[in-house]
Amino acid sequence: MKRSIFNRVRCAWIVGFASVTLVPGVALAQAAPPPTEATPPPATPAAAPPPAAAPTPTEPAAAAAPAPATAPAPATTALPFAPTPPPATSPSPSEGITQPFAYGDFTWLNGTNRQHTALLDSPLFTGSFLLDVNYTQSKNNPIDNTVVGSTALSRNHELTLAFMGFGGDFHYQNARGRMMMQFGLRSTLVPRNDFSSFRGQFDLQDALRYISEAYGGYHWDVLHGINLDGGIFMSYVGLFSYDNFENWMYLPSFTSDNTPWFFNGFRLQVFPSDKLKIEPWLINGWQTYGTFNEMPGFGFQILWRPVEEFSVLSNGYWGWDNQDAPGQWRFHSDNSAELRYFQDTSSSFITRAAFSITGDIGGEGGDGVTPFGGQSHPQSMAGQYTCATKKTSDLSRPCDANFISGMIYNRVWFGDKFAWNIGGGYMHNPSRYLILDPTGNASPIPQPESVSNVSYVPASSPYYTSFGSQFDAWDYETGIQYMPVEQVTYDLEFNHRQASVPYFAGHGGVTSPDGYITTATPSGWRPDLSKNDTRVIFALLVRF
Amino acid sequence: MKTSTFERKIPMMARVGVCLVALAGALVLGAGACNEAGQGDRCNPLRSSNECSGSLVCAGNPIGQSTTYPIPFCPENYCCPVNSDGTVDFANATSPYCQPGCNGGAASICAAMGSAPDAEACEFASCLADASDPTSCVSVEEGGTEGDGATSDGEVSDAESLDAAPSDAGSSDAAPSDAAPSEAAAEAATTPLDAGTDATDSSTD
Repeated sequence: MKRSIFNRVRCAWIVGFASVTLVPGVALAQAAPPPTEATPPPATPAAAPPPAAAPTPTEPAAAAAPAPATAPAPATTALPFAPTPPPATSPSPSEGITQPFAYGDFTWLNGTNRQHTALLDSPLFTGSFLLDVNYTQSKNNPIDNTVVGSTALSRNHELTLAFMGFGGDFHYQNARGRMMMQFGLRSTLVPRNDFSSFRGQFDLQDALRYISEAYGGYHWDVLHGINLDGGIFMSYVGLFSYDNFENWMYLPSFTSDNTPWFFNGFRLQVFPSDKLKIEPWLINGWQTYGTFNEMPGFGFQILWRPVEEFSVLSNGYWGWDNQDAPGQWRFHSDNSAELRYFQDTSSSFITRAAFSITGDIGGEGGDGVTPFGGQSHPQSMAGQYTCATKKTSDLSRPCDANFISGMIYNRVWFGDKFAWNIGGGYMHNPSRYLILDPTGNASPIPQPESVSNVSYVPASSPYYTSFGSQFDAWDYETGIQYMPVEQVTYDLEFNHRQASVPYFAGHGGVTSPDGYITTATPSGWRPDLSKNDTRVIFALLVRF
Repeated sequence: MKTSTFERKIPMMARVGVCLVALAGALVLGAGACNEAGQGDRCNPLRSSNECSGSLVCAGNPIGQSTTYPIPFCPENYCCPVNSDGTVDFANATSPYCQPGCNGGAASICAAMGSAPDAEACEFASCLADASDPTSCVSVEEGGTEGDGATSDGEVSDAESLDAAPSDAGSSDAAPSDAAPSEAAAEAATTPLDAGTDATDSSTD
């Protein structure tokens, strides 16, 4: 019975996928006048400053945006090595079809490229280069120089090459493609959270860790543009961009840090108007290279910018993302709004001010958990299980498994070169299914071997992630950014994080008595986890 | 010929910003190097110098500089106070990590041994878990007396059990030493224990 249900569901998603791929085909047959499209315009490549690494939700159209009134340089600015653009095949906006989101300057948005010009542009390829170097110092000063609980920071008290990426967008007629390599700490920091890669063979993590984006697709000149892409593409669940150059702050709050940075699958971008994007996804899972069970994940993004000063972003997800639990589903809703409430470019002091607010709600159900109304603690004080876990077959007492979070940020620009940011957020995640697992001897997931063939110490005290386990956390941060030119940002931040249970790296670290993986850990040695983490961050961000 | 950065007419705000960034960076770097650990904080026993603040010493698992400051049934190392004779001052330590069993350490040792658990560590942990008054666990350690430096063979045995075998993950010169534990273990047995469970998250749930 259960099997037949799954077969039916499987058929359903296959049919769904077929529909998704066929719809654009039908649309193509209707052949509306071709507008320019979102990320790299196929027909007018040199006429746009494509958003390199960040196909931000905010950018699909800004890529091809004509110069807004405020600041952006004209897209056709003559560049030293930019070839002459070929004759455009698309009709001009004057023919009635406008590029989506091209009517305004959205470079003020959090999670969006602030550049107005793509320097490495050419008719067929728009190159991109990203560099992210940081230094952070925690008050806990862990002896193993390890940061726990972040995808932006990895090493403490060290100059760290967090991210070095290169690649770009290919565009020819209506064909499109994008690849972005990634090197630096993030190539291990992010893939390590993907437990699906431990299913089966061929080492998905090693095969794909150096790719941050790789997709190809086709653009249809329908409505205000339709794109169908397949591969690994960025997620904007949690508002912030994977490319820290685009973010107001370097270390985002939990809502962003604990939600996906990428998806592996297909996406369909539909622009019904120049103010709206609807983007359904068919993906392997919640930031996974592989699939956990029989079913893939489904999701969508809706981006609406009715005016230049206001933007709304909503992401939704439904999937099955737990090992050996095909009946355990997950849903997630992520919603953000950004408002630029002040702008006076002629001012010699404050030129702009804006804020962003984000709220997430999600949960898991089935196979022993329920989003709401379940038990809160897996064990009683007497050690008896009070809700279902993998150690008990009693599913009549499901554990609570939900994710409720929020974050708010405010940014004030002083001239064009300085900005001050302040913000914070919170996260509530019983069953801990979205927390970033501590690493080292506190890691509940397998640790890879180091490149020097030294095995990491098997976790002596894996972090407790059983269903029903509690986790609440909050944070606040403030910082300044200095942006001498459009290609460079210096960032200095102060950040405090607090959790209801020990979670962050304490002074003893999570590795061994002296912090080295080559040092044996005494039997029973416990990682040093702390309930709070206070740190300063300095980062240099470069983008071409 | 321009000889000064300021001749390039960099805006005042930019200058101030750069100076602030540079100053903050210097402060951060300096602060990071001057951090000292307080009582109950973790410490690195293999470090060439004592990182604990004041008169505290790096005690616990008897490796490196902690060899002379062992804490019974403690697999980690913490900054703890010492007596005048150089032994760990369990009586006056305010942190539960500076007590025998170091706040869950005995249970951790017991659990880590799998099918061949350390009987003494398990007995000690069991006593702590069941006892309404932690001082009743003193009987686990034979011969302990209230006061400084008292010892017995029993304590030596317990402490030796702390010299846990390294994990399978490799070894180095920094592996736990075979040095005999000090007699401070005796004192440990006579000290009221705080069986709080804040050491790791697993123990807090």
